[in-house]
Amino acid sequence: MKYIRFIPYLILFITIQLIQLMLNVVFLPFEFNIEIFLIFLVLFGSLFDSEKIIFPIFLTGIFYDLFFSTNFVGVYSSLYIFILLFVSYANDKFTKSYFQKALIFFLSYLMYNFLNLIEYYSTFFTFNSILNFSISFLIFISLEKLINR
Amino acid sequence: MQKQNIGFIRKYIVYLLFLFLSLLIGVVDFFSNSFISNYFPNKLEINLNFTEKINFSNLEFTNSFYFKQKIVSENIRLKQEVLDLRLLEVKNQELEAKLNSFEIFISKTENLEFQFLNSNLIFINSNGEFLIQGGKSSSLETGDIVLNEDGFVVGYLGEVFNDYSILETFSSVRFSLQAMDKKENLFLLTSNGNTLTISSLGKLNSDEKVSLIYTDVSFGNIGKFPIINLAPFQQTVTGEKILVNIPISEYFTSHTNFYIPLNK
Repeated sequence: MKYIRFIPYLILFITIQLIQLMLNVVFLPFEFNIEIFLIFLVLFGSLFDSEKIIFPIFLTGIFYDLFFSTNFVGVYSSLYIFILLFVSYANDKFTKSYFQKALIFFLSYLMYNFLNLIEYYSTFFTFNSILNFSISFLIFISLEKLINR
Repeated sequence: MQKQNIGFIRKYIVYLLFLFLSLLIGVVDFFSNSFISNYFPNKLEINLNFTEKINFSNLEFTNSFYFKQKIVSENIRLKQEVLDLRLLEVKNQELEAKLNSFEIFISKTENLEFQFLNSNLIFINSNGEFLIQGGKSSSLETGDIVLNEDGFVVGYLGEVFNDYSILETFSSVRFSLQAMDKKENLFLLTSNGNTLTISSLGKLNSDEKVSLIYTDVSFGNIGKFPIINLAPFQQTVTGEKILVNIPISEYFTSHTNFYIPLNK
């Protein structure tokens, strides 16, 4: 019974993950992307009791590794949990100015793209990456304001 | 205060436990030669066919004796028919586009003794890898080459699942492909994500400028499928080897048609 309450979260995260994969295709011609899964990950980590969503996040990462990537199983689930851990810790320790939020989001963005960063380190920091980060951050801030209201 | 601290510590312990569990699974998968990564995708079948439509025709009305309800049900039937016709029109347009693509492909490729599987882009994952239609159920295997409409190689299958596969293209840093030209010179193609580097393996058999390069024996169809024409690009000769750097300008959309030769 205790585990049934995780199922809606799991469905939600897998749906967001699939939407993210579809958005990657939609935005391909424009050479930029919106990291909606990261936005929700940071949002859940900063606004909600993220301890409850750790198990669904873990399973979402496993699901992603199994079916949508060539990585070993557990790579993305560790990345997601690490981001959640970082966001949760940062929110516990620091005040919430826009600069700090941007910094937390930026570091989370780097962690989320960690595998791309080590593979494409020479070409990672382009205008498109900055654009991706900025748009994702704006959406994050807007959603956060909306939820806080 | 102490209770708060305990809750605070417990939260991070749970995080660290799950982090450790993820890493442990990763390590087990690594040392078991991707046993876990391959086991579940082979057992489970995820159908990524999004063209399936919802059928409303099974809707039943308990009280069908009233005239009003007959009209309502007739209205629903007609709406469904319109919906079906619209879907049929969309399907028709898709098939027309596919037919055009096949015609272009047939007019440009010389290898008509091969059977080709037509495929499209489904997803792009966080690593920028392309997930395309067609997998083990279509007799595809890891390492199968993938062609574009012009009959040129765009990559090969890095991983094959039941219904879909992961395509390694020139823009993948893991891309590595051996090639040969008509004079049987061997080349190695590698990528850093932005630039495709083609270097000759061993001494060149001729002093002439290298032009078209083809797939070699590693894909079971020697010299059958062209990869790239090197003639327009600057070829740096160092000793008896050549080096060519080509900026990658791939442009794929969800409507891009890929062709995978089936009989090797």
